[in-house]
Amino acid sequence: MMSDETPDYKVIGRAVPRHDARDKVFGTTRYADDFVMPGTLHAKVLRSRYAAAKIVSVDTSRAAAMPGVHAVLTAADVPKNETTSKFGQTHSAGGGFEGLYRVLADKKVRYMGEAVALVAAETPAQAEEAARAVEVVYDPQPGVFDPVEALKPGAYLVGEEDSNVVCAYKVRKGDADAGFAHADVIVEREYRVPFGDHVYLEPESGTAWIDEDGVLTIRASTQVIEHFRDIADIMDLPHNRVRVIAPMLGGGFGGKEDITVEAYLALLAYRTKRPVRLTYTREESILAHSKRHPYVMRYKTGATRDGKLVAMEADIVSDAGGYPFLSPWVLLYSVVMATGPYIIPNVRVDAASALTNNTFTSAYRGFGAPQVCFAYESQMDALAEKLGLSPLEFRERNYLHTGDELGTGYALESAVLTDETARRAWEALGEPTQPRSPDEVIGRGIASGMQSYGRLVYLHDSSRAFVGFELDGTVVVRSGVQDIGGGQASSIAQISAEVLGVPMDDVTVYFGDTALTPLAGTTTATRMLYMSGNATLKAARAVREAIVAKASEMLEVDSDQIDLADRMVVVAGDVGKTLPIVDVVRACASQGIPISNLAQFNAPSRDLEESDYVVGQIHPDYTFGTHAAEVAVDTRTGKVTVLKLVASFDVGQAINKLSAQGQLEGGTVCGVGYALLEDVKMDKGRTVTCALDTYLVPTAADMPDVEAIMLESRGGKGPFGAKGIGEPSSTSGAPAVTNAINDAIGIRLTELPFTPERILTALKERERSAAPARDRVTETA
Amino acid sequence: MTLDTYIRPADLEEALAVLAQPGPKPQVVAGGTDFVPMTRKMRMTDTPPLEGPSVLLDLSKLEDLCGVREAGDVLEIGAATTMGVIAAHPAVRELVPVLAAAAGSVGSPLVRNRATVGGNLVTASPSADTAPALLAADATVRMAGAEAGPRELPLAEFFVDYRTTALRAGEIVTHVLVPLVGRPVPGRFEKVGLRNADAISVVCAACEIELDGSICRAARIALGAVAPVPVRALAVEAALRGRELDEDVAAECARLVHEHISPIDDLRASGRYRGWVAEAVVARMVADIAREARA
Amino acid sequence: MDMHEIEIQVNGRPMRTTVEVDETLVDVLRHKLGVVEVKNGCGQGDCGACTVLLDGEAVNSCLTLAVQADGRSVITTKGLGSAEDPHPIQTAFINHGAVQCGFCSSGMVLSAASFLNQTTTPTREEIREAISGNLCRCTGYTKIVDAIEEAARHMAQAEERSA
Repeated sequence: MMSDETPDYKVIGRAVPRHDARDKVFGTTRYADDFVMPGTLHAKVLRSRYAAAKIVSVDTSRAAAMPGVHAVLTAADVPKNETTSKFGQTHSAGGGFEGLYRVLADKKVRYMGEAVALVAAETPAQAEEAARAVEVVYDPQPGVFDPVEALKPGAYLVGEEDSNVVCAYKVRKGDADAGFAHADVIVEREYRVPFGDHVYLEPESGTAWIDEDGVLTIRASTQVIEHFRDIADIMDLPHNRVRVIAPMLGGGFGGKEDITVEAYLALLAYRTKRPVRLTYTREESILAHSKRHPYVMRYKTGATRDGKLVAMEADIVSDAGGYPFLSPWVLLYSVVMATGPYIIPNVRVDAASALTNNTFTSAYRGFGAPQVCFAYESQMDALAEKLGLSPLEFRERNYLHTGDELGTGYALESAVLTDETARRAWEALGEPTQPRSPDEVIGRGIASGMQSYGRLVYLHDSSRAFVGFELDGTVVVRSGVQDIGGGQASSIAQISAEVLGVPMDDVTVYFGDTALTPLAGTTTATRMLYMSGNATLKAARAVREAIVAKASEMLEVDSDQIDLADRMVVVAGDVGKTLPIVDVVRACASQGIPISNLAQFNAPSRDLEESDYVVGQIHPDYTFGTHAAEVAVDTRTGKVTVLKLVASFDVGQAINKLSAQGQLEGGTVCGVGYALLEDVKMDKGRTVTCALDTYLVPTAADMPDVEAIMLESRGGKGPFGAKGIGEPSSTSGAPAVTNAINDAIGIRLTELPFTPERILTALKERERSAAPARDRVTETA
Repeated sequence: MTLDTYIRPADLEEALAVLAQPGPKPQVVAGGTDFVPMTRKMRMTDTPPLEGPSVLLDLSKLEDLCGVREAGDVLEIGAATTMGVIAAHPAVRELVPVLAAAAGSVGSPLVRNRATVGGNLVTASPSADTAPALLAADATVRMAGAEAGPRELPLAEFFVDYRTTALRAGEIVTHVLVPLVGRPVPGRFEKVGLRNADAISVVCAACEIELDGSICRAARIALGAVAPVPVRALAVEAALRGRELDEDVAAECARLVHEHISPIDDLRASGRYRGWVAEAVVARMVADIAREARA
Repeated sequence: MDMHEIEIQVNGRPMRTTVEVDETLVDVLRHKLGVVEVKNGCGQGDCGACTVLLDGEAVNSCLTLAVQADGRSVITTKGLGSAEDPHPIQTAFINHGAVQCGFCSSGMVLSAASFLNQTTTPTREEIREAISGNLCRCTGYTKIVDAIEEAARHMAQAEERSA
């Protein structure tokens, strides 16, 4: 439900320039590779040249003897080479949400690029040469590279278990078969989406050293400083003797959510007792870090003639690559959101994730939602066409609202404004563009999506922040927030400034340090604003309460007459009664009244039941929105020009207007890359597109402006009624574009990316035959 | 690479003197936009670096080899002239617009501030963007070396094989010459890449057609990325000669392009797709010129 | 391998170091001269994070050999402006929300500066073309174009005033 009044915030909702934007533009921000420490050694990782092989022997003697080399390490040198990682969480949820983290390959390698040995040397060139000199004898194995094949009995076993199944989930609601029997129109198709690379501009990087107190310290470009617990575990050190610091990141998008360089640096720094630095080349980054999950999705959707969805079935197989990592989590997100933002009374979803010898897959912006969104939004358009309804009209007849249930039976609690986002998005496309040549066809498309914010409820997520006044009236916030570019640190400054009545520039945020900042949890799952924002809000309010109470005493007025604004205590209806906040701060400090507060915010939580069936609340909440696109397709080359893009979302409450718009605009382009360009091609586990001239992402010349439309229901669970938008903004962009392409060419393609070649091939095939035989559509009388 | 000596000659004479010295020939570099990534890839492979030249001869910004000037009946373009300069140069834009378009399509603005036309031709990638434009413009390459004096070769004879040119050891390209008689000539350049900037061509093509009204007197049609070397589509040119041009004639003659191309499958595109696009692009360019002639 | 002594004017200050022939300018700037505001995103000219102005022209410093910059001038974002004396492009980036993770920003502003030195009233399409060699994965480019458009207006007005 929309809030009727627009609150009169001082800084919340304003288009405030971020304090970190200044440092970044003037070039003074230091990212992980920008720090200099005397005596630093350089690390190099030796990686497997095979996707599937047994390791027969590893001989490091020649390498260790080379000039400048201080250490050459293999699995045998790791105190605990394997651990069960909680992936940065604190609670052991069970059910596959904890998983194997292996530091270095030991008896076999499971994907090409898996780390086998580590070298530290005086210069990068020496480290590289020494890595080449490590002699590894491999016994290549056949491997398996297709997750559907990997699930079959007799398939090559990727791991140490007797099956390649990583996880399997079921969703059941109503009776799908009965539902289909009532359907007047059914569309059944198979959709495929590829591996994706995050291509953060900053490659993985870090430095580790033993500090003056003997504490193993790692500074790394990471979204999860709380991997320090896993690092401590593998190093056989106490948790309180391992420190991880995250400086500003040059992008994360989920690719820096798992441990990347931290473990290697820890081992080498500990062994050599020198600082050690490791920065990946771009090629190494693409080769070695996690990828977005490819999915094969068979979707069957039925509707009645009056345009109501009646049944849905989905069979999903995801490629987990060589190690599970977050595959179970990602697949769970997919099955929860597999129906899309629609009311479907009868649902059957069966999903499984399989190990293969491809590069391991894990978190990637959207975390399982973009894949199914492409499928369900393609289905919606196909059904709309068969029903003779417009894409917008058909969706409007089926959208979920507050109180409606997902396929899992969970009833939505917060605001759900999908219909309005869709209407606004479609409207914003304006007048259709006319083709600019006889070779060109124009098309329009929309896609609505839903995406969670906040972690899985099974993880018992929590976040902490410290907010306090200094004696000069400036404010300090300390929170273990990892700032990956979305303004995570700036947001909590803004919230504190709002609550404490000071300008944003009066607030300094210390972030990202496991030793010195209260732990805030991961920067993942679109959770930072929701979790650390709420924790900060709680802490700031506690401080405000103390200040207001003291001010009330000092001014002899009731507390509820008092506001804090522009560094002053002000009294409603009495302009004369006023006091600088700093005076109150000093009075509190003198009288033993705390002027700071450490607060914890806990997300809703649940315990995992032993079951394959996914039922009930899985996430704290969801964000809903719609993308719209207009495209031109050159029918002679298949090339697509995106003419217009609209991103229309209920953001709850924009905390920083520029940041919120920026997330919508950036997320949209992420979706367009997914739709048109991005494809990590693998050939039997070998990454073929290994640099940025072959793995293509959108340039400024490939994109039109994105129009960002923000609805503010104030009905989210974040601070001030905010909803998270970092990932939701990237979920429905791709199907908006692909639906527009399908509209332009009159053919429905089903595999991402929609390359010029795929489009032209479809056009040529249609030329040759009478009608597309692509989908089975049944119409019952 | 075992480069250990860097020489930046003051002028062409000094450059040729360095090339004339006995012993292994130096590695020549200008903008470095092909050379530097190549050395990077070599360093990153598993095998130890190859033996190679020890002297790096830097021709970038060498005044004698930079610039565009009208020299009698040719437009003389220094080999070290950057793509950015060529794309923006008034004489090139007016007289050889296909070259301005081709140079302007290379890489990105950043790359175009370094990449040179000489480098583009000498690297001789099949997808070099200036090659089809210069072939269509009937360009000649002037080379100079230590041993013999300068010599000139039609560009079509310069590309000998896949990434192999007619340059002899110790020779460099000094200028690219485009004949000026009859210019400007109606022409088109089209590059088909997977995105709009910083994209290697999947197909690139250029044509220049000398017209009498709407009758083709002579046509030069060249393509890149569809054969081991950039090629002239001679059969298409012959078929167009003397014809009254319109969309149908363009489409009909464009079909003959397949006699000259042997496009491969690679990770950017299949040979089949390249073939479709090559034919479509040629037909479209010719039809466009025909339409303009009638207007 | 012979080491070559080179001198580069970096933001107006002469800086000297010795380099090998095949060392790139980005590596030498970052690791030998401490000029870390120049970033390395891909090492082969595909991302633009390493953009500098070399003798006034925006180039990929990862494609330029350090020896090729000997005797030449290099401008980084610090040479463009600072908190005390910001360049209109930098101010516009900050005010328009054109900076998220910031890793592309120190290169992006230089491509913009080089472009606006040649064009005073660009269209949005021309701006996009001008920055097409600078990848950004965060912003989706819209606010970057907004910022450059405003900076162009600002710079044109300033020129008018001083004329």
